[in-house]
Amino acid sequence: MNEYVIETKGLTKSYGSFPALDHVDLHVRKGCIYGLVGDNGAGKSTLLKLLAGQCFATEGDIFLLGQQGEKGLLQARKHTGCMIERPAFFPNMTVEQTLNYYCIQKGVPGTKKAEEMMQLTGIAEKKRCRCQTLSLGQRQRLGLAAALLGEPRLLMLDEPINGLDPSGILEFRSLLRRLNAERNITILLSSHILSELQQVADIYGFLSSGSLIEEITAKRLAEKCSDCIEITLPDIEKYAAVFEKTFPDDSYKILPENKIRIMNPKHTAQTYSKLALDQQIYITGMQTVKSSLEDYYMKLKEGGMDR
Amino acid sequence: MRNYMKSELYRILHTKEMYLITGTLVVITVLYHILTFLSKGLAPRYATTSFSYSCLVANPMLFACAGTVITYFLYEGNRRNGNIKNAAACGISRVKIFAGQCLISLAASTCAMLLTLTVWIISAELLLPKTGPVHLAHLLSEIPAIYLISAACLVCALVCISYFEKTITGILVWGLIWFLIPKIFLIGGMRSEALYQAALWLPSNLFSVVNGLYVNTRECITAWDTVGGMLRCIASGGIGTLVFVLSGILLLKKKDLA
Repeated sequence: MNEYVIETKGLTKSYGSFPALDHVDLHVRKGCIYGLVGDNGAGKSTLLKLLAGQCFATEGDIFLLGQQGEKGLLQARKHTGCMIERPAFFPNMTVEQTLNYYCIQKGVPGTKKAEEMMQLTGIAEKKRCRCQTLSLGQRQRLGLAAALLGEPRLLMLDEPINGLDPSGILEFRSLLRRLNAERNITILLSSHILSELQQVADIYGFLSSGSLIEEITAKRLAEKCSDCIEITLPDIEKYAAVFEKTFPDDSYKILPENKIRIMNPKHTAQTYSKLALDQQIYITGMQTVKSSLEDYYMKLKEGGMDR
Repeated sequence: MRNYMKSELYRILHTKEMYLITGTLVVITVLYHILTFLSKGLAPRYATTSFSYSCLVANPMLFACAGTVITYFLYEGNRRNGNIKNAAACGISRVKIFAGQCLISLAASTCAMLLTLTVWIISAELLLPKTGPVHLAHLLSEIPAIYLISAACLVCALVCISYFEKTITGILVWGLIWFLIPKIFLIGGMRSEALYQAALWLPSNLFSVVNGLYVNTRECITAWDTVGGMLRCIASGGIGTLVFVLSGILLLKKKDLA
């Protein structure tokens, strides 16, 4: 049995001659919270739209909940919930009517489920309000409530915390964790607020200019984002040459302004400084730097963490 | 598709658009007959059931336009509000969404038409003297003649507003198809008999004077008076509906939702 709830193979979407997505191979494991990281225009929404059937791929295959092909994907989408870009509602319907409308559309009997979702997402007090009067944050909550109708096995959310206030973000984060843990819902989450993703996701996919440049687990990312040592010295090439010879297991990157960054240092700072001294290279600065998800993404975009 | 149609029905019954449109049509109908009744001393030849019915019998395309207006009110906002995206994400295919919208628009328009027409007939019969060449039978026999043409017009409107990014473009293309192209065919028909014959099958020519339709205060000759004429109206509407349904399927089947 396929271990992935979403798998894409060479997924490509072009608008005219502009490739919005370029041969993306995405792998979302069952039960995980997958964080899709990327700048504006990186292709996150396009990828989610293709998965949700709102757009059609120019090339490549999509496997959703183990199903593929036009009919298979339509069938699989009955078990997914999604909220892509701004949530879409009829402006003159109330929150309650909107959820009832989607209950009927998804074949969910009665109004109990709509009530439950309103409570779960914290929009119940606005049930009699028309959608056009809701704030962006309230619309996001309603969007999530609508996506959760019909017991989805997979939830796809595009920038879901847009417009939420700080307490809303906290509630939202805890709700996602609960949905994932208690209902075993796999969640594909896209955001450009990386610090937020870092708190919920357990696997990341980095999109840049339409290409998926890396998929990495949160654990592996934590290892990669661990402390690194940044040394400033005048003869950077000489130090790098000796460094590579002396510490073959250490990885490093040469930065502008005569700096060298040792990633995941396997020795102490004194050892690295002694090496410079032995070569009569005088260190002008040395500091320990903690990489964030943002740093990691920026480094990936710049061309990877080279050795 | 059944769930989609049910949800759309729920929306129509729980929002005010349909009530407003139907209510407006009914109010206009009643007001028109009250005003005609009150002015019968000033213009007695117009204060008759014949003149009242002739307004509809002489202009069958009014039914088609009314159906289009209802469709426009029901589905024009879909692109702006992005509701189709949700339906697509629920695993409903574009073809089923389109088919559902066609059937719901047709059902809603039929209800609005039946209600308005009932009020029209009752108010005319109650308030106006029954004289003149146009009778209730002409109006009632107009319904089967115009129904499929109205359906084609409504489906065409749906295709136009769903396919074109801008609503105004959709409306203009719809107008072009239904009113300008038939006129172009007719003008072209002055040079070619085949084009002229083809032009007579297009609804806005089918119901015009070029096709021998005369409805006025002296006579009433309609396009559906004869069996052949009626069949021609039904065939024209049937072919039109089929053409626009197929066009809709082809154009919307793989249409990206922006």
